[in-house]
Amino acid sequence: MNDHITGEDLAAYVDGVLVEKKRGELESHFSRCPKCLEALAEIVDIQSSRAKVPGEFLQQALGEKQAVRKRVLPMRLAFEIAAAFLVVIFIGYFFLGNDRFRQAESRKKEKAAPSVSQAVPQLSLEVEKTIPVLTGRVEQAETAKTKRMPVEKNVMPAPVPLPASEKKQDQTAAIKDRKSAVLDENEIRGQGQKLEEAAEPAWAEMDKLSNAQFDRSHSVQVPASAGTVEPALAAGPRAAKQAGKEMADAVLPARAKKYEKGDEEAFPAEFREAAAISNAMQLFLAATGRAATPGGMKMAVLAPQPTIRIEGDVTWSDLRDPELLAGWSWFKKGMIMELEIDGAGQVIAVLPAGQWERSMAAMATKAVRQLTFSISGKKSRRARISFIGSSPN
Amino acid sequence: MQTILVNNLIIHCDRDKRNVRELDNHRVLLVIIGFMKGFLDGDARLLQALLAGDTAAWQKFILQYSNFIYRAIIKYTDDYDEKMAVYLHILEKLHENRFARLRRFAFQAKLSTWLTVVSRRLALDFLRSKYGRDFRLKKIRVVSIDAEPDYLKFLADTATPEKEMAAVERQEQRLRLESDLERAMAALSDKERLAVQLVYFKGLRIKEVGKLLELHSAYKFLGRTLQKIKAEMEKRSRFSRTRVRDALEGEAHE
Repeated sequence: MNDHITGEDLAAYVDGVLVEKKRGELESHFSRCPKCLEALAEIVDIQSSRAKVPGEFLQQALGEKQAVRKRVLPMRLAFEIAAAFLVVIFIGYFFLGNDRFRQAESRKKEKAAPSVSQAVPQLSLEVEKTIPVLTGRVEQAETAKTKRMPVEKNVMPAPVPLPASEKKQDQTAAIKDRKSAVLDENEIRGQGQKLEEAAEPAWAEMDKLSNAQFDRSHSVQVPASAGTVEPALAAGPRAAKQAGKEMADAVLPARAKKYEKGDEEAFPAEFREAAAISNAMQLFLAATGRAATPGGMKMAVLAPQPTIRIEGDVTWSDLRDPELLAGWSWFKKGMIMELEIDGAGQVIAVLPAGQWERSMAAMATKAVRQLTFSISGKKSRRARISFIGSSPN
Repeated sequence: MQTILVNNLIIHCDRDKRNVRELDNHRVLLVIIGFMKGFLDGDARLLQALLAGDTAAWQKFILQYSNFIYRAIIKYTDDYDEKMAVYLHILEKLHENRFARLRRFAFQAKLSTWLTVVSRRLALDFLRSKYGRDFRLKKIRVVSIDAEPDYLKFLADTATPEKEMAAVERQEQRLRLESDLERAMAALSDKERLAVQLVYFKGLRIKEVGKLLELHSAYKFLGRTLQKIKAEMEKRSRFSRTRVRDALEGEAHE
């Protein structure tokens, strides 16, 4: 080999990628050609070096190129930002553009009534106000059967049968003269409207009773005032609820029937006991700074947020307005509610299971009936709402 | 950059198909293998983008391979500004004529090794054009008097008339030894001769040479080679044991 070794062959020899024959030829040449031997030795020596190029060298080499990069970079950034916006718009359309959002809005307008989320935070105050009322209320129940009685029964989970309320209205003959105009108005409004009155919670009525200093005439006028406030247009959805209540009579077990009938003798004692427990609990919570004082002065409004489990044919994700559950501070451990949901997602029947106070059960029944589920299919579904513990905070 | 097979004639084309040149089959096979390998190591992809005129690929190439260029430069110069000048010169040479040098890379070796060879060549050309062929004198690492050029050794040895006479004798003796060593080396195989040259004349480490020459045990290999050289040199009469013993006895007697 007379010619010197090419750079390609020299590099290949150093890398050891040549075949044996070629290697032999090159080694023969290296051993006889001082110039190529010098090159080989220097390449091996350079390769053993670990020196790194100074940054200034790179800056010098890339100086012109960096100027080009500066022009390119904003374009790329603009594309990246545009892509990010597209993703955000897509996600927004996917989650907010479906029927769930619109249905929730339309339903709120349709009801045009204060939601449970507004009503429930007042619970701690309202429950306290019921406590002094209790004794007077028991006396009234013994003396005469008034319009208040169906209200008491309807705080139970199951719907009140219509004939029973009518029968009791007939029995209250002495009072009937004084409230005849109101009752006529109720009858005109129809059966659905009556049941709407019946669904009003006991604690709301008791609040008004306490304000009137146990005046029976005031208590009788409560449904009339409620009727005037309630718009006539609300009769339609309420009638649908009535149909659901009738269905619940067939569905709910015997325990609900028992509550519906009402144990007249056991009820006052049980209520008194429950009130005492509630009072003690309120004192304890006030002392620990987690709830309102019995007098109504809130020491710390923020109670631990409950964690609520929804299981059965519907899940938490089916709930159209989960913000309603945020106000369920009264929902404590051991409380379970079994729901019956119709095809439109409305709660048509509620059965409190587990450990409940009567007043709490009534209030809970009303609160649960505010819930709506986004479900499809015409058949009714069953679900179970239970308390699974407090959040870490 | 395309490779087309037409009737067993492989043609290597540029992108615009103006620069068409024929290649031998072996070279094109290496190109194809190199491209296949490139999918693993990324060298070929980078080079392909570079040759396609991608500016970002050139920047990436500079960032990725500047170390190899720099290591080749610092072998020949210590001056910072000169290193910078040589570095930019090499990059310019690689960039000129639409990366004509890089187009010649056939993926036979690693791109880094090939770049080291090319950078060394370009650096030597640059420095020789500036300082002449003896530019290496600018970077002399004095290890011993034997590493000095001959005229310096001669000056050192001729400080007195006695030393001057002794120096002349030693010079003659050295010349005789070198000629005998050359003969002994000529009797060795290519691999043995190359190993001795790289280790004892060029100063590479035995480990490096063993790896380069693919020797199983480089130390034993070199030991055996030295024994061969010794045996070959002892065949000469003036290095015979008797003459060496006589010379040593005479010195002792004096």
